[in-house]
Amino acid sequence: VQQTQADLHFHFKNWFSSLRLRLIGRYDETRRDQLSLAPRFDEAARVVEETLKSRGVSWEILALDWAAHWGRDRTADLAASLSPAEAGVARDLSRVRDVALRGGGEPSEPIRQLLLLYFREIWSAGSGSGRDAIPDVRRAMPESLLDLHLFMVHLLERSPTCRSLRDDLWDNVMSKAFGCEGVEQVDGGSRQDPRPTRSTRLDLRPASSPAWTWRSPDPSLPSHRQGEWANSPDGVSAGEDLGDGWRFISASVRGRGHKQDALFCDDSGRFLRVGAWHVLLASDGAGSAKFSRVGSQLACDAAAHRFERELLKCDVSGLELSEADLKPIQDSRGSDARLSGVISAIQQAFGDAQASIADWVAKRNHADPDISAERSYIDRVTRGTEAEVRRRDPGASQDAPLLILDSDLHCTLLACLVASVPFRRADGTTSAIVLAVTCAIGDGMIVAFRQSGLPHPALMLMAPDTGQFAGQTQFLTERTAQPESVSARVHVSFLGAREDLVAVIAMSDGVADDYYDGLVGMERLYCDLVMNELLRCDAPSGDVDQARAAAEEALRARAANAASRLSDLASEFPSPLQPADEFRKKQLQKSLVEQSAQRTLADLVRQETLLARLPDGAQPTSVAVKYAAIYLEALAMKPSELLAKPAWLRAIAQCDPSSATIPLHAPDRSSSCREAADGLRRWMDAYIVKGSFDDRTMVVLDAGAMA
Amino acid sequence: MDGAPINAVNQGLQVFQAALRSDPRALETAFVSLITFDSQATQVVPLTDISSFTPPTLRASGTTAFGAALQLLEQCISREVVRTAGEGQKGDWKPLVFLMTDGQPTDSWESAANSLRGKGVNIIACAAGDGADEQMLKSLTPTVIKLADTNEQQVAAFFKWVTASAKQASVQVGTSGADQGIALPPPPPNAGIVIVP
Repeated sequence: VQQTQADLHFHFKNWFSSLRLRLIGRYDETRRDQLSLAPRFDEAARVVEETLKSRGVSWEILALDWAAHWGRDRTADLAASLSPAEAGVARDLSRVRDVALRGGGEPSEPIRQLLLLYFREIWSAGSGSGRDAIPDVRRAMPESLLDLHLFMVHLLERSPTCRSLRDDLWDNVMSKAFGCEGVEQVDGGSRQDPRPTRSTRLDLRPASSPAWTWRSPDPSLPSHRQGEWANSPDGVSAGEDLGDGWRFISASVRGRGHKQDALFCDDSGRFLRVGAWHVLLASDGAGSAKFSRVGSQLACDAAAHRFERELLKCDVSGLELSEADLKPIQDSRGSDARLSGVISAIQQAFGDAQASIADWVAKRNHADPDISAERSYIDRVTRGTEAEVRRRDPGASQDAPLLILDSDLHCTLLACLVASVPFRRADGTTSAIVLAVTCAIGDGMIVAFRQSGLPHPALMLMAPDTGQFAGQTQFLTERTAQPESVSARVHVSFLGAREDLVAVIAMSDGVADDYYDGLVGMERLYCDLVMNELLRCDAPSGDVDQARAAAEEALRARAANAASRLSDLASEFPSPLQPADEFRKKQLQKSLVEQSAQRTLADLVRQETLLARLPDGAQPTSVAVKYAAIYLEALAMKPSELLAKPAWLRAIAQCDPSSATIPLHAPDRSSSCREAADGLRRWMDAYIVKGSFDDRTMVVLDAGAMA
Repeated sequence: MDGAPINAVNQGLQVFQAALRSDPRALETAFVSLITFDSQATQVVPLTDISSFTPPTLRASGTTAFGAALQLLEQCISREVVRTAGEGQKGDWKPLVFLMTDGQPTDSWESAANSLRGKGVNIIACAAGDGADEQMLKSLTPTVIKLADTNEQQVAAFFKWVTASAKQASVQVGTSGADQGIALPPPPPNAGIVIVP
């Protein structure tokens, strides 16, 4: 018997792997032939079917769920919402289903048996002690079933349009099947999947999901994070009102990874105004380097210091540009004589940043008397093994202190200089045009958002250094970052009329990677910032209530559409249903349609746990986070399609989740820039993206503060 | 390799899977694939995320198709590991390969090794027991370790170390600068595991 079970599992594994490959778009032609199951399932299937029947559950209803998600009729919708690779996957799967449903022969068995097996196992794991046992299902789930379970969950999670159906199916079908109302969702662990939060749900995800923990930075590490970092190691924020409708807001937060590992935040960010110039600086210390947080801070400080002096000499208010000037200046990438002062300031700033790091390293390696106490401290905390001492300095004696290298301070540096420049229109009148000069070594992103660009408001102002694999980049501290290479990295852009500018943002890769999808990704970032009221969105003065009604109407239409398609698929099902099942199914469909008629924008707001400890020692708290990704999926829209309806965005921004959660940001846009920056910090701390646990930094020039 | 050693390898895989699954970082980032080679090379498990990975039961027999294994490894990496392409496609993290063998290659492997070397993949090779040729592995990758014996304790210690390395790698991939080379934890003392200089 054991051998039989092992064989069954083996066959199932093959079949599962093949489907999974398709799902993740890494589909291998040679695995097609594995799409068959052993006939030994029959016996098991028969027993299971009888058992399920005695419980009043028919597999057809459950199979409907499958069909609704991957049915042939849905291919067009899926294709519209999926990437080309995923669309191919969907086509493959729907072909499989077609064969399964229409062939009438063997191929329908795998699907049927898969579902039977799944529910039998779930059921038998949870049965015995009735509803009290349900929370134990996840814990009791045998290892062999995890794959199957995850696969089913994956299927159910994949479909953008059936999100509501899925929730309803979980709640109705599953809860009825197991005679329970659902269990409290356990929060605070890692989020594998973005989906709307419910207060209770039947959560059958395996309990093996380990939680992220919070630990304060290890005090034995050299911090070099003075000032506000000393009191608030989880994140800092700053704001400055510039009095002319523009303001700076910035925040850096310690990533989930560093919270888990008791390490410091390695990012730094700065902003400053020098004359007409607005300077944004962001630096990401390499996690692999011992003192990268020192590097990022030194780089920002040194660059800021240099800009403070040099940019005063670069008065651009005397320039009066006309349309004909713009393109040559932009194309010159900084070699235009009118920008020579700025370019030289940038070169000097980057040179200073490098020099300041080299100087820090040299002083500590040559026992500068000013810092001898600190040097011995560094020795204590970095004491390398003998091998490491030798590797760094082959001539070193056995007990020599560890030689510090520039690479111990590896960091990136992103600089963005923004100024309004007088502009002479063709009709002779003058206005102000916004000029942005950027230079960056490393990854991350500098982006500008412009109102007139809607629905494509984003303009990327730098080209990040990336390698063929993730995490590969260039550092300021590498030899490649010499003055000539600095000027080759200068980008000059005109951002359009001053009143048109919404924001310019410099961000570390901790944020940029979460939105890595070219302009589409940046458009999604813009949606997120507006939805969470971190940036203003100027909707044409329409009625927000009206917009909300329209958006919710669209939500409901999507859900109802999916529900009715489920009905269609139900009637298409070839297997004869018992009259009682038929009645049940109709009831289920009816309740699905009814429930889908009650969907609101606020239902899609997620509640995230804020892990950061604040200076006042406040405990973790829940905040309401709106994910553009969730709204876009529920509405089946691309970011640009949502951005074409700014009133909808504002309706989402203003929808009130529940009184129990703390909004990220005071809804009043007249809030002070400090409050705005703190809202930014909380959002950056709270939002969760799978696989993203880097430190996050954003420095924002918010140009939309004036009404 | 047969009997107790291969059982130890199977147990080691279980430990590997359980440990990575209980690590929140690995759970969100790590994907695992398994290639075996005896008289031929087979990808037993395609690249699968760690929460879906179930270690198969390996059996060992036959010869050592080392060249075929390297060739298959290169094919699998180029097919399954996504590389950065422009602004639209973010690359996967750089693959980390643990290669374990207890025999001499029985096919020609030099050209496959040459071709793999240029691919920028981190390889950690393990020569298990006296039958394995660590100098041959050394020509493939600078990181080679030697198991003095293939008894159960040593294989178990090796897998513990592999698990620690993989966890450490998943910490390092989460941060910029992972390309600076992956620093491995020191092998357990007195376990018969040595790093081949």
